[in-house]
Amino acid sequence: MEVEKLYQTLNKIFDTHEIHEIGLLPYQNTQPNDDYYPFFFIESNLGIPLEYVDKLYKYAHGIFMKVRDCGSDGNNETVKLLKDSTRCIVIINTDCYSALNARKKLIIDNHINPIKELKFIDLLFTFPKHTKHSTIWFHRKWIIQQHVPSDDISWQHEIDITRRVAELYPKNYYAWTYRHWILLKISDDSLHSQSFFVDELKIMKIWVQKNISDYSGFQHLQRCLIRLSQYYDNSFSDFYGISRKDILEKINTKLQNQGLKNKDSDSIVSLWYKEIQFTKDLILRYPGHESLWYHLRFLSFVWIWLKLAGYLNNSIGFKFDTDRETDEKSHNSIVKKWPELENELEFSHYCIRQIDLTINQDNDERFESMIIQKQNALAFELWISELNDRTKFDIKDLIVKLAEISIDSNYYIVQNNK
Amino acid sequence: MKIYSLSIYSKNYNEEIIRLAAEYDLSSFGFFQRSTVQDIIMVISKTIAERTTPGQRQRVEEQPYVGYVYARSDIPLTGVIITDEEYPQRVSFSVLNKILDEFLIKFPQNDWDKSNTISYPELKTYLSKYQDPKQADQITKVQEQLDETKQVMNRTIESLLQRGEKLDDLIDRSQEISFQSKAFYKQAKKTNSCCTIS
Repeated sequence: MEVEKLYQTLNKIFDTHEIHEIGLLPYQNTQPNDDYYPFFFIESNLGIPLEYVDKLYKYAHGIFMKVRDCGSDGNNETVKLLKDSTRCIVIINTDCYSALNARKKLIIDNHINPIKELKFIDLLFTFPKHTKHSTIWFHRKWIIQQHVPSDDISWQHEIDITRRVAELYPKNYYAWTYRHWILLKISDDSLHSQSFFVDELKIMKIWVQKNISDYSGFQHLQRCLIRLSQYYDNSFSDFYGISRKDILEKINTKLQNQGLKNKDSDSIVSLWYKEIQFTKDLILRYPGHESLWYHLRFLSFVWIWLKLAGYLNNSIGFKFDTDRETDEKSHNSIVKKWPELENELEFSHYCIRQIDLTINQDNDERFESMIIQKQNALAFELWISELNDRTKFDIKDLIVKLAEISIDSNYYIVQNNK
Repeated sequence: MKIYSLSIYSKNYNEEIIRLAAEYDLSSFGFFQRSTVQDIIMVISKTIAERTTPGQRQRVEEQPYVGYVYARSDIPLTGVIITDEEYPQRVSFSVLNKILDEFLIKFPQNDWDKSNTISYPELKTYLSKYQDPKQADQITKVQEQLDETKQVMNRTIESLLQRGEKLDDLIDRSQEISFQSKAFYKQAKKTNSCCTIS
């Protein structure tokens, strides 16, 4: 088939239809007399047969090379050639810098409507591979920052896009980084931003429950918690670059949190306390997921920091801790314990006891996830012990235990090199 | 934590496996992948059901999917649930127990041979309800002790197949699935990604 005709057909589809999704097809299932042959256009979804991709790309690239020097100052005809050829190039290869730069120039010169360009990127993101290029994400950011009036930006739509992208291509670094960036673009001083952070937090709590082994989600959830805390107290730390060493140094020189209203301080404490309960519940419910334990580590870290920074006032523990009288052995009461050191240790012991009970009871294939759970519980205990400056004896003892059950870990190496 | 599919099988008088009911939830895939993923899951489910003896429970891995299968020992009725790697095993078997029990109450065995498929709309409801494993907690608790003692065989598709058999060939030979799906599957194998071209 003649490539010029092919290219024209593709442009015609784009110029006359709204398209929902694009895909590359490893087959061809249209007839020469069908509309838009050989493209497969069904229910507003456009399929491009793989065998024509090469030809199309070369052809479009050829046109682009010819007209790009005329730039967008040229006449209407060259502008149209430039728009169409770069569109075709980007559909096939979103990583083409020159094409995207040409399109930026077209936006600056008002030949491409920035809102339409965002829609076009939405479409590109329906093809999973395209979402793994930083160039196209940068293109999106650039449009939003430079060419869309801030009142016209729908941040909710931006969130929805990253949600879908992370579903089509899980653990997508670019999508999550973009989503973190959205949180930072929302200012932390209005009621509207509070509701935005609260909603995003809700969405993320549901999301992580459905993707419990994907730490990218937990990381974003952490950012939501931080942003919401910053809404209550704008001096609240973003925890970049704060390490365990900093905490240990501060343990003896308590920082005092000055001037914060009790109500705001309580909101912050309650927020993190609830998150700790939520995470412990997930850990007990779904044993053997490292991501959950890492999330708990982050939360415990923040908790100690809250203590050092003076957010945890004397009586506050009793205000939230209402379930002291309930059955001590139940899952629920373990989860709800006030997260101070001895209760955190108790949580870890509780997890280990549960595992030992199950393993003795039946020897089936859940064994592996149980071992992982036990390793993680011990590692958590070790971690929080070090964070709280527990005695060297306890720590050594924990390393011995960890080495026993995880022969492929560093603990084993440390233990056996001595 | 996703359930992709729930399906129920029996055997006809020739001892061949027949599908009585099946539902799919493939909303996490794009438009052009959906039908292919459904076809592949269909072949995997049927293959697993075929190779499970009465009374047996198996967990079968075929990345990125995990299939759980339970064949009843009293009557030729087998349930298959296809999930991702996170979905809990305990809950998967509870769901299978529940739907097979209910299916038997609604449709007596005599009804099965008459047609290949039976309209069982509740299956779709369960598929969406149990996407959240917490929803299955109540049924889980009742059956927990029972499940605890039963052995579950851990398998891969390869280990279920007979010598010389391959999943690729089964998919290639299947008359139930479209040539488009076969092409997608082959292409995806080349790039080592399931059902998407990247």
